[in-house]
Formats: sequence, C-alpha cells, structure tokens
Amino acid sequence: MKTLLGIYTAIVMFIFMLPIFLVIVLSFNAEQNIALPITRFSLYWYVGEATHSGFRSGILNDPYILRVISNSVLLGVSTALIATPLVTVSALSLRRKFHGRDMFFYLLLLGFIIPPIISGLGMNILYKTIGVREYSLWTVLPLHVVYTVPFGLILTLARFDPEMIEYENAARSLGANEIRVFSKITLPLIRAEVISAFIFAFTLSLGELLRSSFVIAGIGTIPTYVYNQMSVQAPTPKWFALGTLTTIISFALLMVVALFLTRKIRRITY
Amino acid sequence: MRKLAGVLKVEDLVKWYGKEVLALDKVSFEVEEGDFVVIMGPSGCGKSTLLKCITGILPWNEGDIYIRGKSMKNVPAYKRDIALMPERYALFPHMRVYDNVAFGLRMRRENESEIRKKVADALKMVGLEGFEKRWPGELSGGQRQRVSIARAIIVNPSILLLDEPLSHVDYRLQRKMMDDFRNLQRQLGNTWILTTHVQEHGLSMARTLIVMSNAVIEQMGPSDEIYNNPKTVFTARFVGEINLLDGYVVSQKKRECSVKTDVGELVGTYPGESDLKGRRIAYGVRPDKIRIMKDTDKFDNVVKAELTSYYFFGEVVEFLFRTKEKIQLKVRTEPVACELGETYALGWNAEDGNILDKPSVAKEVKIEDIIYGR
Amino acid sequence: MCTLPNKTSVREFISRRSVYLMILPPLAISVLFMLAPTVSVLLLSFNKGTTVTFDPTRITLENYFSIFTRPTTYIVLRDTLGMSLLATLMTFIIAYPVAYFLAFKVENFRLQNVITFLLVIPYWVDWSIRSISWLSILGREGIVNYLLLSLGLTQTPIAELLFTRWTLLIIWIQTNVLFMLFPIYLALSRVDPELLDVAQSLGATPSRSFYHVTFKLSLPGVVVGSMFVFVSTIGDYVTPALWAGGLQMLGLTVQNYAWLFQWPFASAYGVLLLAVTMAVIYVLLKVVNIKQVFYE
Repeated sequence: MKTLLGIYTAIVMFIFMLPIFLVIVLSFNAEQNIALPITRFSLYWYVGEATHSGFRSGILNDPYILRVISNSVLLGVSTALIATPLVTVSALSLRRKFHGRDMFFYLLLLGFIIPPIISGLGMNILYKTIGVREYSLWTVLPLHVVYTVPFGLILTLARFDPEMIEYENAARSLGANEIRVFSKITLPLIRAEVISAFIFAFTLSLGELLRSSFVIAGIGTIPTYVYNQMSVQAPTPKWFALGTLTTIISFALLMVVALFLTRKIRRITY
Repeated sequence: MRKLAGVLKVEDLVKWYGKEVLALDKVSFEVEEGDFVVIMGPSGCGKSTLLKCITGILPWNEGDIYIRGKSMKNVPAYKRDIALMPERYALFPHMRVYDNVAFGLRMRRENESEIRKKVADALKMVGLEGFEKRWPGELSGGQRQRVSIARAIIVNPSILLLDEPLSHVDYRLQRKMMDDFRNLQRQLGNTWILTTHVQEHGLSMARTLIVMSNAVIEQMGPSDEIYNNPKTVFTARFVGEINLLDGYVVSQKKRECSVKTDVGELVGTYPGESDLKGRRIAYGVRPDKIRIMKDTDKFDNVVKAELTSYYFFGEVVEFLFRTKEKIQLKVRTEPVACELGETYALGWNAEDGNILDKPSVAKEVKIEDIIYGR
Repeated sequence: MCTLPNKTSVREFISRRSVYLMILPPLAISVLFMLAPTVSVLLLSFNKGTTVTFDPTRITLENYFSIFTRPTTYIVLRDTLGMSLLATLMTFIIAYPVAYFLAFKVENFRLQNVITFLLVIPYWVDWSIRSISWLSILGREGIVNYLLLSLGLTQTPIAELLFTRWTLLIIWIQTNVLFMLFPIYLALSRVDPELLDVAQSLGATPSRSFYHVTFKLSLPGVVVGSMFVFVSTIGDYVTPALWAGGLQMLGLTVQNYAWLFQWPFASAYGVLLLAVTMAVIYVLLKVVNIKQVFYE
C-alpha cells in the first residue's frame, strides 16, 4: 500500500510540477511559440537582443516589467509582515476562553470565505464612498492581509502544542513577566508555524488577482499585469521568463526571510 | 504429542527495536485459562512491548505466541480473540461513549438492538450507567479509563489485556479499581493480563505474578511465593521491601546455609540447587519478618542495633535501625513503643532469610547495581 | 469574602482583559476591510443605476426582480455551482491520497516538510502564467496530443482539450490542490496512531479502522480545504473568461456589470453569489464542528 500511494504521490507531484517545469524550460526558447519541441535555446526573453535602435526586449531590460515584479514582491512581503503577527496574536488568544471567542474565529475565517470578487467590489465601493479616489499598489494591501490571515491561522492552530500553556505557566511561576514568557517560551515553540504562516501569506499575496484588480491602479502586480496583457496579446515565452524570474526571486527571498526569522527568534530567546 | 497448554503460550519471544534495543530476550511463559496475571517490572523492562506483541499490534523478530494452541505469527490483531485497554485509554475522540463501547460489536456486525443492551450492561458493570451520550472530552480520567475497559470487555475476548490500567488513577480510586477488576474477572470468567510498575498493585491483585526486568522474566508464580521466596536479588528488591547484606557462604546443609556477613554469621534458606560453598551471595530479610525481641523470644538470627528513626504509616511502623557496623536494617511491625537512640535486639528465623545467588536473570547485571540501586 | 485592592489585582485585571487587547488589531482589520466592504455591496444592491455610493433614500428591489426573472440567471447559477462543486470534489479525490501518504507513510518529519515546500514552489509562478503552460500541454501541438498521435490513439489532434469546461476544471484543480491538501494533511497528522491500534485490537480490519477512525477524524481538514476550493472557484471571473470559452459564470457576470459601471446591478449579482456561497459553507460546517478541532 505504501508503494502504491508513493507512486500515486509521485505522479501527482509530477503532473503538478509539469507546468512550472515547462515554464522554466520554455522561457529559454529562442522561438516565439510556446509549444515544444524547442529547437534553439537562448536567453532572449531575459536579456533581449540589440536591434538597430538599441532597443532590447528582454524582461530584464524592461523597466516596466521589473517594476511590476518588484511591486509584487514588495506587496507580498508587506502582506506577510503584517499578516504574520496578526495570525500569531489571534492564534495565541484563541487558546483562552473569552466571550465571543467563537464569533472571533468565524469572523477571521470569513476572510477566505467571502468570495474574492465581493471583497474586491465591496472595497472598491467602500473606498469611493469614503472618498479615496486614487488607487495605487497600497490600496490593495488590506485586502491581501484579510485574505491571508485565515489560512495562516488554521495552519498555526493545527500545529499548536497543547502543552504550551504548561511551559508558559512554569515560566511565570519562575518569575518571568509576560514579555519574557512570550519571547523566550512561546515564540520559539511556534517558530515553525510562524515561518509557515509567513511563507503562505507571501505566496497567497503573490498570486492574488481577483480582489486586487478592483482596487489597484498604476503599474500593478504580476497577476494584474499578466491578466491585462493576456487579454490583448498572444502568449509568448516572455511570460515564462517572467514566471521563472519570479520563482527564483521568491525562493531566494523566502530563504533569506526564513533564515532571518529563525535567527532573530533565536537571538531573542538567548 | 504437544500438550495443549492453557490459553496463552509465549515461546522464546525476541523483539528488537531497530538494531540496538533489545526489548524482549527469549521470553517464555504459559498462562492458564481463567487466570488473573499481572506482569510487573520497572519502566522499560519490556512489559508493554510484550503486551502489544500478544495483542498483535507489534510484530516480533523470533519465537512465537500461541493463543489456544494456534500460532499467532501471521495473525493480525483484528483476528485474534483478544481485546486491549491501552495505557492512555485511546478513546475515540469523535465518538460518544456509546459508540466507543459499541465499536467492537459493530465490527462484529451485531445488530443494533443487541448492541444497545450489551452496552448498557457493560457500562453498568464498570459503574458508568447512563453515560452513553457523553463525549470523551467531558469525562474525568477515571471515567475515561472505565469506558476503555467497558469497550474491551464487551467483546468478551478470551484474553483481556490491560496496559498500566492504574497508572493515571488517584490513590483512593486505585484500591476500588483493583477490587473491581478482580470481581469483574470472576464474573466474566475470561483470562486477564495486566501490566504495572507499582509493586503493591502487582502483589495485591495478581493470582499469578510475572516479574520482568530488562527484557527477561525474573520470576513467575503466585504472589506470596514470589514475596517469600524470591530467586534473584532483582525480584527480592522489586517486589516489596527487603534488607540486603553482602556475604559469602560458609556452610551449606540441604536448604539451609550459613552466611558470613558484616553483622556476623546468619542463617538463611536457599531453595535452589547450586553448591554455594564459598560463594559470594546476597542475604536478604524482609522488614516484616524481623521482630524487635522481647526477653522471652528466641530466633535463629539475632542482631543488636540502635534505633535511629521511624516512619509512621498508621497500621504499621517502619523502624530504621543501625548496627554497630553501620549497617542499616528496616523493620516493619505494628506500632510498639521504642525509644530513639536505644539499642534493641532484632531477630528472625532461618526460613525468613533469603539466600540470593543471582543478581538477575538478565545477563550483564552487576550485583552492586541492584543492591545499591541504579 | 475579602478583596485585595492592591497592585496584584490590577495586574490580574489587565491580564484578564489582555486577551481583548490582543484580539483588537485583527478584529479591527477584519471589520474594516472585510465586513465593511461586504456590507457596502449589500447596501448598494438596493440602489439602481450607476451610482457607486449608497443612497438610502432610493432603495429599490428592482435589481433583484430583474435578476430573478431572467432565465439566464438560472443557467449561470447552475453552471457555476456545478463546476465549482465538481472542481471541489475532484480536488478532494486527487489531494486526499497524497495528504494521507505524507502524513502516514513518510516517516521523516523533515521530509514531509520538504515535500510540502516543493509543492508550494509552483505557486510562486503566477497562476496565469502557469495556466499558459497548459497550452503547451493540451494544445494542438502540445504534449498530450503529441503522445496520443505518436501512440496512434488518434488520427488528428484533439482540439477539444482546450477552452472547454474540462480545461477550466483542470486549471482550477491545479490551482487549488495545495489548499485542499494542506488542511487535510494537518488534520491527518494529528491522528493518534494508538487509536488505530486499539481499533484493530477490537476487531477492525485496516480498511475499517481507516474509515471509522482516520477518515472521520480528517473530516475537519476536508471541510476547510473544500471551503477554500469552493470559494476560490465560485467567484472566479478570470479563469473561465480566459480558458473556458463561452462559459458564463456568476463571478463573470458580476464583473461584467462592474465594468459597465453598473455598480448596483453588479452588487445585486454579488449578493446572489454571496448567498449561494454562504449556503454551501453552512452545509459544510454542519458536517463537522471545525472549531472543536482547532481549539479545544
């Protein structure tokens, strides 16, 4: 049974990874088409070729696209930075009994139960009603935060060690004040969950399109950019180059963050 | 023609965890039908492992287990005529008490009206009448345990296995549960096997006691026999209290030996067969067998010692004496008037002196470890 | 009964109230950026025209009347609901065995984390871009057709693999499989293996103990995952537009009217969407008491 399931998992993972594998491979396609087989490999879509007028069309030369990427990453990191503490605080407070605890939980969960289009539309209406005329990258931020918190919350709650309260109480009885208890006992114990919450928040924010397109303006994020482009243009490997680049950046970024968070938490606890 | 031995037979059972940890080292024993067996031993001695092998949830490496004469080597747990009450009860958290208890019967596809009656009876037997609709999360530890027992007895197995059934129960309740176990077993008539690491439980409950240490069986037999005639130092120390003295055998006549110890020459009993003359042994005498002598008493062994302290347990007092050789002797008697600092004569008979020539059945155990504690 | 009016009781007072302080930020953010927008949509649906600000003096049910008397509404509803539920079901079927494998058959916890991380990586490639790659798989010159042709199973390339309902389904599944897998995996990894041992000792065969114990205990995870997949597919207006050809979806309808600046009308459809979603969620939550699982 184990091997059967293992094979099945491997197949699923293969099918699942196939698209991005294709994305990465095809981004090096010298031709315009996005189908296999690839006859020539080149870095054209990344760095472009010099033409008479000196214009290079790779994405690494295109300031607009680079801006789009940095927007997405910036927004993603900001979302994660705000969402993660919110998730942590909510998860920790849900351990205790208080009036309205269930309501609180369901309210937070609403963030991913309310269909994105309603959130987007509603936020649009709300902004206009309040008088916010101009949209930018940052008008989307609250929506992303509200959207990513529930997922992180469920992740964190599911992995909570029920013994945690015992450790905290032990620390309290030994003279630690609340801040110390939190930084030296609680935080290290939930370190893994905090990092996962961060990763998921970042990932979810990166791919968020449905809500964002209602309240965003200006250069936009990767999803909104691609969506707009796709409606008017035929796809070329340029998008794949974009996708590959994003993956590399995200990977690097998350490695850095994970390392940083781990070290920071370790530093607090020592 | 192999004699069909009792209801359970364990033969040369060997179980390794990984490559390094030997949990069971050629364990062999037989259990008769209708017996109440307690497997007793310190943590890590292998009793839980043994129980789980008998249950069928743990595979073993060598040897075999026979239930009613049939080999259980490739028989999975759900086909064996057993039921287990695990150490931490393992009640299904997503089912009410009723469904937990009914589980085994539902697996046997009995019909609901039969089940309802049987569940009610089982709950009544463990003193939880009317608890059908409760959730495990709402129950106290003792109640949960009783549900776990009800769940196991309801399928009426030939062998009922209980892993540390008293370890999470408070003292008062422990006494009551021990009585309940004995009564239940008498009512049901099947074979019960329990494990525990608390020696009082083992002694008081068992009809047959199995003492285990370090992957082996030290001794097996009725509780009083093990108490009065331990075969190894380990058993002597683990089952009840004992005073132990280092010594060597001066002379041996049939079952009686003369032993030279630090407090003088003592006589004791050795039921074994070896020739011990000149051998180093451990001499043991249980605190309750030593009397504080009155002038008219006469005993085979007499030692003078000073009373240094005592512990009062209500119906019994434990006196701590020290001999002039600085050897400590514990004495347990009903309360008598004694003065701290006074010297008294302590006496006991040869039959109460245990000569122990082996530290333990397990190999590579140093006698010092057992005498002087680990 | 004596009270001690000194520093200890003040600190106790604060610490007992500190929970309320802790939950204030998430609560405020939820209310402002989640409840408020939803309420805005709800309110606006009772206006008409192209106004974007709610006008309490001009409340009308015209929008709803119009929606419910159109036959297309019901077709769209049926299609949307059907596709979403189907996608949810199929994602569940595909994800569950993988989650089970990860939780029970992969011993090394580290390895479990590694595999999970591997599954997250594709999500950094934006979902639209990932979808484009399906063109190379399902298109006329794509991999599937290539295989089918070379194996001789078909004579001409199948064009129906793209821009149909099934494309939509495939893309939806691919986009959401992780969000179904993860909650299920979490729920499964919390199952105490001793429960399975006991079940077996009471006479349950491995498959029965799986069903009665493991599967039932994993239901909260299944519910959470299903909620996520269902919600993200039911309001999706991008994927059907790009990949499913002419299939009209509820979310798309909302967006269409929004594009035409018919905010109130769009809102009305939005409320319909919300109602349908809430109904399904309600049913899902009745199946299992998830809050009991996540905090005792």
